[in-house]
Amino acid sequence: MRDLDVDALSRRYGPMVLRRCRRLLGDEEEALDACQDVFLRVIERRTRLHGEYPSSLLYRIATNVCLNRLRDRRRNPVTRDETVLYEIARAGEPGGLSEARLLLDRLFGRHPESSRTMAVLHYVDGLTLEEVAAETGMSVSGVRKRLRGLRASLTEIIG
Amino acid sequence: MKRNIPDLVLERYRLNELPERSARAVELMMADDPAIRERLDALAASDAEIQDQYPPSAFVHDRPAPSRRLVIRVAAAGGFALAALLLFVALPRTPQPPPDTERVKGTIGGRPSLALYRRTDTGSERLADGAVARPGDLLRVGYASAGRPYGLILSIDGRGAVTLHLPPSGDRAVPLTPGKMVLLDAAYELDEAPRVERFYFVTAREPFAAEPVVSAARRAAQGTVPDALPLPPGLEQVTFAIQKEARR
Repeated sequence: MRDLDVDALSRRYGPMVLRRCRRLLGDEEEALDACQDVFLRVIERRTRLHGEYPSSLLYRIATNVCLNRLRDRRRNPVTRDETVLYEIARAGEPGGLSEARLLLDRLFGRHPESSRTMAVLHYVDGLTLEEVAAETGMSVSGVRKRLRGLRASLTEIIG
Repeated sequence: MKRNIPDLVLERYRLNELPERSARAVELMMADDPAIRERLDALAASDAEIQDQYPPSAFVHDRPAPSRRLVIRVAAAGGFALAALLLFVALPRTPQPPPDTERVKGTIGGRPSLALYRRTDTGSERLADGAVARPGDLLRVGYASAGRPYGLILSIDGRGAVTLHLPPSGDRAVPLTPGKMVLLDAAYELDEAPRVERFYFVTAREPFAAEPVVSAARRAAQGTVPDALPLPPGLEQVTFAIQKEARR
């Protein structure tokens, strides 16, 4: 792993990744844990770092990791953190927060991790479809299709 | 309407990792909007605060050393025999403390957490939640109790099989070791069960019986691997999943 120079990566990008995790998780302890998971994922997929801006990749991985952690919180009382994800659900339909959590749970089971990340980048972070496409290495139409799929699932689940 | 620049764009601008055209667009917007400069300044201040608070090593787990008394337990039938035994014989036996960079969990306000470590040719590696693992991988489970005194760990695989990892036998949740990440004594080999295997770390502030939790897991595991268990009141849980990749 050291041939990847993870130490240099963590020095340069650690603060950005931690900020991202703090924002999504709202808990310092958990954000630092998530931050460590992010760099672990980078280590695991080091060959895929080539040709990408590390900041984009790390930001995207941080988003994935935090979404997984938020999913695992769902049996806890509602916290302000979940309002972040609620924004995604709200893009499909209005509804109560608990309902949104249930919907998200079901969505998480249906769609790949990358789709959830795209949803956060677009609906929560405010990136345009073009920017999301650039960040994720997909075409704009591909991103649009994924987001449409998420919204269709929401509609289907809501009935 | 003026568009708010996303945080990611500003982060990349600061890191000089925006395409030239996008960087120019940020600079043009900054000329009209002093709030963008303020946001960049705030990011710089945040960098300084984080660097003061944490050394760079705090962001990266070192791979934990294996500890002694590693005992292989076969989680399910099939495919695991001599090779695992040979691997066990080859494992280092010297007890070593977790590396310094293995962060010690506090006992105030944190959440319990689970970790999975996979045996590699040169030691072991900590897996990320949702990481891909393969049949035959040798795994160890670890936990950080975050001050919860009692707990148990079980898993459900893609066939709905429930395996109790902590305690390996017995009918009560066990007293948890406080503080740092604690590795369970037993390792186990991942079997051929499909799709996903999820681990559940159930904790409480009072002693509790394992049976209601195991029964709840068996009921919930009918044809699926639930994201969470329907637990009796007073119990908390965190989970950790690994995605299963077919044997190559």
